[in-house]
Amino acid sequence: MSLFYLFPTISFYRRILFLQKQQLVFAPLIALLALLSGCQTTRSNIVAIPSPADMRSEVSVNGRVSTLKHIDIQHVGKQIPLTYSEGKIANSRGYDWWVSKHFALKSDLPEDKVKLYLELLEMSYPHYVELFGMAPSAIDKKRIAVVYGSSRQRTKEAMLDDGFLRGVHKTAGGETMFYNRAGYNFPSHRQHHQRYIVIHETMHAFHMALNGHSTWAPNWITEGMADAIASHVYDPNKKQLTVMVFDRAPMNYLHLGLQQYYQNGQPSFEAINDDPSLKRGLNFFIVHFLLSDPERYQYFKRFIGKLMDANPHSENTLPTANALLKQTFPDWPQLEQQFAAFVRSATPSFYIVDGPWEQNGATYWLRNTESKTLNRLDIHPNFSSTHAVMDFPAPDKTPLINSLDEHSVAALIDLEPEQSKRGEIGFALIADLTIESLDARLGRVKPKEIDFNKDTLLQFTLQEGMKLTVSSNQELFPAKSVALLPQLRNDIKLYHQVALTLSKRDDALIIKMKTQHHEQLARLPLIQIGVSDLSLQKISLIGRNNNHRITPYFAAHDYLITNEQTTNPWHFNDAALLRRAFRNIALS
Amino acid sequence: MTPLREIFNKQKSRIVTETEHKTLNRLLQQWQSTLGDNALFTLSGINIQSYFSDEKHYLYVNNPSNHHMTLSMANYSETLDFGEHRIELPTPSVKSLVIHWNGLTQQKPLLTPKIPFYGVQMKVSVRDNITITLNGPYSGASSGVLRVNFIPFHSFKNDEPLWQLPVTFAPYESKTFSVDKLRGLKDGVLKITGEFDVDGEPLQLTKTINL
Repeated sequence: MSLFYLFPTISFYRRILFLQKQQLVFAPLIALLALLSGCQTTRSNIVAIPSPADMRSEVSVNGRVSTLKHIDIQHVGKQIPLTYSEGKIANSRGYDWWVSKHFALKSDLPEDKVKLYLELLEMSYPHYVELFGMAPSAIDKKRIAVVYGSSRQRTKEAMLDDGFLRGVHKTAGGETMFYNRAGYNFPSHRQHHQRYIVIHETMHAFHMALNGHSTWAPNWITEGMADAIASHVYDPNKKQLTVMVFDRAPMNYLHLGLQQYYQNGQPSFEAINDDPSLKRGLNFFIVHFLLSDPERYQYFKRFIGKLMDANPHSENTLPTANALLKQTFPDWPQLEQQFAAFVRSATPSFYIVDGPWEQNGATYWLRNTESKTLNRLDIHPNFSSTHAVMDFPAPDKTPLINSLDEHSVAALIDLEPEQSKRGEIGFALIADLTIESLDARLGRVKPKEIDFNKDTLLQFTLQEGMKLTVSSNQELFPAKSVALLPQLRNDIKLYHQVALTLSKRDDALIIKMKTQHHEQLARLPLIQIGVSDLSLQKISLIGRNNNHRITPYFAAHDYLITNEQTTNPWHFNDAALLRRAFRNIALS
Repeated sequence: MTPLREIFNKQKSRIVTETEHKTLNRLLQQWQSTLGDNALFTLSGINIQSYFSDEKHYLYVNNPSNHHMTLSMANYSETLDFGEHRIELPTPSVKSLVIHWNGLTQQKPLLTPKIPFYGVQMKVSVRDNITITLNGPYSGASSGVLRVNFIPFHSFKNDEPLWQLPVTFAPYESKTFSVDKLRGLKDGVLKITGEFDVDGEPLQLTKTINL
C-alpha cells in the first residue's frame, strides 16, 4: 500500500455515492442521539455533515459580479463541522449549524436568513480568492466558521461559549477573532448592513484561514479589503451579488473616504499605511486605487505575497509593510502622486441627503415608516469620469421605458400594493445646487453644517397612486398635478408598476407615464425654471410615507456583463497567464 | 516590460485578442531559455504548500500550466497534470521535494513543523502529574494566570486553587507546566483554567477532568 493518497479534484465526485449511503446509515442514529440528548431542533432529518467536496456551489462569476446558479445548504443541527476554528468553537443555546461547500454557519436566525447569508458567502468566495490570489489549502476538508446571532446580546452569548470574555466591541457590527478564526456577526436594522457585515467579517476569517492569522497585514489591507469587498450591490430577484463596488448609495465609502481625506490633511499612501488608527474611507481608497489599474493590480499581488512571506509580528507590521511597499512598487513618488490624483478626482454619484435608503440592485427604496418627511437621495453620475461610476449592473430593459439619451431620464416605480394609495414617490431634477451642498458631497465640508433645502429642485412625484404632481421645493411656482387616466390606474392596480420618463423638447418638459398596457403624455411648459439649462442626468430620488421601489434609468449606465467566467475585474481570460508572465519580470 | 504594459493597457480597454495570448506564451518561452531552473515556479505558476488537516500532513499542489509536472520525494514520484492536487505526506515528514516541469528542475525544502500550530491552545493531560501545555498566539504579547482546582464529588471543599501561576507567552511559543498536585486526589473534578489577555483580547480557556 502506498504511503501517499492522491486525490485530485475530479476524484471528489467519485465519492458522492459512498457518502450518500453513509448518510442513510447515520441519519436515524444521529436523530435518535439528538432526541436522547435533549437537543431541540425544528427539523427531524438531521444528517451526517456532508464533506465540502460533496456539496455544490455553482456561481457564475463575471468580473466582480456573481450570480448564483445552484447551492447546496445542509442543516446539521448541533453537530459541529470541521472548520478553520480547529475545535475552538462550541455550540450555543438556540443556535444550530448549517453548512454550504466552503462555510459553516452557526445561527439562531430563521432559515431564510441563514440561507441568504450562506448564498452571499458562496457568491463572495471566488472574489475572496481573487483578492488574495490564493485559497486556503485545506478548504477541500475544512470550512470557514461564521456565527450570525439574532442580536448583539445573543452574539455575545455565543462568544462567551467560546471563551471570549468581552463580546463584540461596542462600536462594531461584528468581529472576527484571532483566537479561533471565526467571524461573529449580528444584524442591524439596515438590510444592506446585514449583508455587508457577513461578507466583511467572513473576509477576515478567510484571510486568517490562509496562514492562521491576519496580523501580518496593516489596517488598509485587513479592513480595507474587507470593506471594499463588502461594499456590494445585491439583487435579490436575480440572486446576483456585485462586490468591490466603488460607487453606490448606502454605506457610501467613496464619500466617507473623501471626508476623511480632507479632514486629515490629505494624507499620503505612506501616511495611511503608517497610521494604526482605523479610517475606513481612506483604506477603501487605497484598495480601490491599487486594484483599479491592471499593472498596479499585479504589483499589489506581488506585495501581498511578499508581506505574507515576511509574516511580521503585529508590532512590526506597519514598518515591514512600509519597507515592502517601496521595494515592490518601482517608482514610489510617482505612485504617491497617482494616489493623490485618484482621490482628488473622485466624485461620488450618490449622496443620501436624508432618509434610510436601501439599494437592491439598481433599485432604491425607503426602509422607514415616516409619513411626514420627503426623503431625498441624490444621484449625479459623471459618466465621463476616469473612475468607476455606478459600477454595478444596470437595470434590465423594460417595455415601459423606451430608449433614452442624454436629454431624457426615466424611473420605474414598483409599488407595494397595500401602500399604493398613500404617500408619494418619484424624482427631482436639480435646477441648482448651492456651493456648500456641492462641497459636502465631495467631503470638503461637514454635511451637518449644510442646509440642503437651499438646493433648487423640480420635483415629479406620483401621489397617492392617482396623480402626478410637479412642484418646486423653493415654491417658485404653485404645485401642479395631472390625474392618471383610469386605464393607467387600473393597470397599476393589476401590475403594481408605472414608469415615468422625462424628456426635454424646446422649452418644455414632456412627461410620459406608462403602465403595462397604457400610456399618458403630459407637456409641462415652465417659465420659472430654465428648462434648456436643466440636466436630465442629475436627479434626486424622493419619497415619503411608503416603501415603494424606484429604479432610475440613465442612458449612459452601461455596466458590462459578458459570458466570460472569470474573477478578473477586466474579464481577461488570460489573467493567470499574465500573472505568471509578470512574476518573471523581476527575474528577466 | 513594454509588451506586458501594452497588454495591461489593452486589458483595461477590454480589447485583448488572441495575439496577446500568443505574446504571453512567447514571452514565457523566451524567459525559460534565459532564466533556467531557478525560474521554474514563476514560469510555471506552480504553487506548493504544506498543511495539516485531521492531524495529517498534506501537500497542496496547483499546476496552472498546460505542461504536466513531476513531483518526487523520498522514494515516491507522481506526475501531476493541470489543476489542484492534494497529497497526504508520510510521517515523519519528508524534508524536501524535487519538481520537474517542462525541462526545468527545482528542489523545494519543506519547512513545515512536525505538529500543527493553530495559535493559542491549552492542552491538559493527567498521568503521574498534571501536564499543561500552552501554545502562544501568532502575534502579540500575551499573559495571564493558570489555575488548577479540585472539586470533590462527595464533600465540600474551599474554592481556593490547588495551584496557580502567572504566565506570559510569546508568539509561536509552546510552554509546558508540570503540576505535582495529584497525590491524594480522587472522586472529584480537576478543573484547569487559563485566564489570559491574548494580544489585547480577554480569553478564558477551561478543561475539566474526572478523577
